[in-house]
Amino acid sequence: MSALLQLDRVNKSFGATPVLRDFSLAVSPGENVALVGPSGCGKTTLLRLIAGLDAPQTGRIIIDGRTATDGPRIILPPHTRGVAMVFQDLALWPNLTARENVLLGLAGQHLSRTDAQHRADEALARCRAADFADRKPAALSGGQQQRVALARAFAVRPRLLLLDEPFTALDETLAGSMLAETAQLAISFSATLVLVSHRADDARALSCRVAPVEIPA
Amino acid sequence: MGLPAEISALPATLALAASAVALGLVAGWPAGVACGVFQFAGRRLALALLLLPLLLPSFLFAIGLSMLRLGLRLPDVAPFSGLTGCVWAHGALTTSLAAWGALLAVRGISGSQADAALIAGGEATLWRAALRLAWPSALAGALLGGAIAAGDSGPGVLLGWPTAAGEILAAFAARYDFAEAVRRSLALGAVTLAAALAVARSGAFALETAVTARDPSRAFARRVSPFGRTAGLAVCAIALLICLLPLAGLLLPLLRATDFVRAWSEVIRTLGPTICYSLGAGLIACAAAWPLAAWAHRRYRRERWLLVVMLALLALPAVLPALGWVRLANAAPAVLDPLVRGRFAVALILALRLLPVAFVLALRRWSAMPRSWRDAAALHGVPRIALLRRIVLPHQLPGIALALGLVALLAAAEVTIVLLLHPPGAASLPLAIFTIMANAPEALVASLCLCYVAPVLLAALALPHAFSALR
Repeated sequence: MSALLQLDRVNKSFGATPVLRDFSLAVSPGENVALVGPSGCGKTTLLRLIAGLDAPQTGRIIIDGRTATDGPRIILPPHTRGVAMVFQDLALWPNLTARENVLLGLAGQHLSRTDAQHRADEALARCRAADFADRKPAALSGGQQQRVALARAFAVRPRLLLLDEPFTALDETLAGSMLAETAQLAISFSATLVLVSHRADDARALSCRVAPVEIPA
Repeated sequence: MGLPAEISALPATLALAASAVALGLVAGWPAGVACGVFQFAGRRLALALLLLPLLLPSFLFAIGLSMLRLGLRLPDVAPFSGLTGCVWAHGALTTSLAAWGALLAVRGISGSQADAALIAGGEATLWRAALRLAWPSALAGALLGGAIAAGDSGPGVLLGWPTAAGEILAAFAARYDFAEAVRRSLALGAVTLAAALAVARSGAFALETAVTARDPSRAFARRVSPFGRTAGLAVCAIALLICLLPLAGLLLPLLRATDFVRAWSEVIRTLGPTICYSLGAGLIACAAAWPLAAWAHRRYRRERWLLVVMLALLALPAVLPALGWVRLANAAPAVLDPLVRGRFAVALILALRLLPVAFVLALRRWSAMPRSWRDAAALHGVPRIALLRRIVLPHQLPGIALALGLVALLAAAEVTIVLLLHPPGAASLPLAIFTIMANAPEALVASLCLCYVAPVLLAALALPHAFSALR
């Protein structure tokens, strides 16, 4: 089976500080992967490179057989990669309700208004966020905000969902159950998960392959 | 041949600026820290009073001191005139800037940092830590106030202390030699700019930390304690003595007689131009500051250097850009007269003068917007227009409204620029007060001052609340 995501000798540094050195990784469809490593080792940077929010100095990123990034050149813009992401701070837009957050997240899908509303409501319902869909993020608990962020990510039907330590604020038991639930959702939405975490327990909760990320010497 | 008057007045100017800075630090630094650390009765009023010197022209404080002395039938000596009088008048501004600088820095303390200080050594440790943290911001604020005082002619002329700016204005009024006034202003500008740049460079770093702090942890709750109540009393005393007492002097003649009919007609006559200049300046400053801050924010080197430039711009004598514009207008073709000699020109130069204020607020607002919002939009293919209309603008609007209001209030208080640039018959209210104060009856001047000070005080009461809502 060809890889859904392939990183080929990716190098990234900020100024004189190297963050990733010759990093390579291949992820098959349906194979969830946890990138585990200490703080500051470049895990979030790696996700940003995969999402196309940032570019490496050298190396290639191939998503679903298409070259998405080649060296410093971003060939596929973020929203055309079939990738969604749940950010560490969740990145919910605070002036919009949960439903509006999901709807605006569908802006790049070029759906009709009815289809977009249907897609948003379905994602909210499957992520168990429908009950508070008309509330703004500030009026939601941390767990509810995480469900809305998941709904926004799954609504675009991504092939690859990037999770940037979204559950670190929760205790380990709750984080584990949220991750297990996310894994089930990923199966039902046919998405592959790439999780970033500094906790090995998270990888166990997701029952996935662990790819270590180390601080370059 | 002796030295030009403004050169021989330089030591007096420096003495005045240094004394005003000292007063600002002694009074404003602890006052700002106390307002940041403690909750006490009268805190909101004290903050409003500490804001007044920023929102009112310095000459009002000088006239107020004069009227206070006359009202109390005291001789024309210290502390109401000469150096001490000027230090009092300018010290209101340095105290205000030092206090607000310190307050801004202290509000950056997170709840857990405050808890750590309390566990380490109780309230005394928290107080000492807050004082140390606020020192650079308070010093930068006081020094900035000192630089502004050095370039301000008003109180020196009114209270009999020869300053370089006062001598330049006097020479210009006597001979109307424009080129010479520009040369002299540039010479004074070079002195204040050198001082301002030194201040601005260190001040900008402190300001950047305070302005762009992105601490997502819970805010530090102000403490209620006996020590806090005592500190609060001291803050109220400082605010009343330094900021309110000179203004009370302005209103003293109202106890004897009032002339609100003429004052009101004067207000109506000057209302249009005042609103036009102040709102125009606010709009132009915001229109320039927001894109500039967007271009600079999160690019730390750019951010810092722009702050240095902005602080230096604020410290330059107000007369300098006004004279520069007059020179430009003289050289411009007649067809451009409506643009270069009209009300727009006044608003434009006021906006340039106050651009730093709008820029700092814009930078703070941009810094409060997480990068992940834009990243999420990019990842989901949200069009730029939709991002701007639905996410960025709603988030920025409260900041824009606050900056517009603050710049408008500060522009309304500016006299020098309006004096030099206003079209005939289009004076602002403070300029009208400044023009008539020497010859009009006391009752009229006092009535006019009340018409001006009362709404500004109301705005000052509302501004701290609006600012804290933006944290």
